[in-house]
Amino acid sequence: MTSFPKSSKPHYLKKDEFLSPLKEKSVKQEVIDELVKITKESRKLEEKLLKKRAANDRVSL
Amino acid sequence: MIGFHYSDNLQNTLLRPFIFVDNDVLTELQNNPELVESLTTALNSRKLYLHPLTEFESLRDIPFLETRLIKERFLNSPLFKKISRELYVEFLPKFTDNALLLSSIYTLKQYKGDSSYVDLMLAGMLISLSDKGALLTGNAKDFPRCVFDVLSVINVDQEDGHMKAFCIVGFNKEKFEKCNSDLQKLELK
Repeated sequence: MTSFPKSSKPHYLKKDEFLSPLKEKSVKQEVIDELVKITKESRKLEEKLLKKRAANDRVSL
Repeated sequence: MIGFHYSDNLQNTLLRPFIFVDNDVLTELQNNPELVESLTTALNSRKLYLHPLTEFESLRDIPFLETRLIKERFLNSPLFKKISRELYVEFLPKFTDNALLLSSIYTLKQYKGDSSYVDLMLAGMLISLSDKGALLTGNAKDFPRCVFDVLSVINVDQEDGHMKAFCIVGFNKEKFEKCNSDLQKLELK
C-alpha cells in the first residue's frame, strides 16, 4: 500500500471542524496604516539592495 | 490611493467566512503601499487567512536578513490570520487525498495549466471547506474552471496605466462532483 491510498471520494469538513469563523472579520485602520508603513520600508530596502547589486555587478565586470 | 474597480458581487463573496490569500498577492503587496491601501479598501479591511504553505512560499529564497525581517513583520500583520502548523498537519492527510484526486481530474479534463504542488494543496483544502472558503489570487488560471469559479474580480490601476486583476476563486461542488463521476466511470471501464 502506498502512503497515499487511492480515494475516490473527497473529504468535506463539517462546520467548525477545521476553522471557526472569526469574531472580528476586519482589521482597524491602524493595522492598515502600519502595513502601509512596512511596505514603504520594504520598497526602500528593495531599492537599496538593487543599487548594491548593480554596483557589485559593475565591479565584477 | 490608486483606483480600483470591482465586480458587483464582491460584497456577497466577502460573506464567505474563510478567505485565503495566495502568495502572488502577498508578493504584489510587499513593496507596494498604494496597492495595500486600494486592495484592503476594496476588501473592507477584511482579514485574510494565511495557509502555512503560502507562508512558506513567501519566506523562501531570501538570502538577506534585513529582507527576511521585514517580510516577517509584513506577514505578522493582524490582517493575516495564520493557521497553526499543528492544526494544518492534523488535516493534512485529508487535504492531500483531495489534492491527489483533483490532480487526476485536471488531467482527465486536459487542463493545460501549471498547478504547482502548493496550488494543488491549497485547492485540496478549498475542497474541504466547500462553499465556506475562497482564495484571493492573481493567478486564477492555477484554479481551473472545471472545478473552481471566479466569484469576484478586483481590478487595480497601476502607475504605468495598466490594470492588475485579482480574483476571488471558490470551489464549485457541483462541477467537481460531475468531474469526479466522469473520472470514476472511466476507471471502472
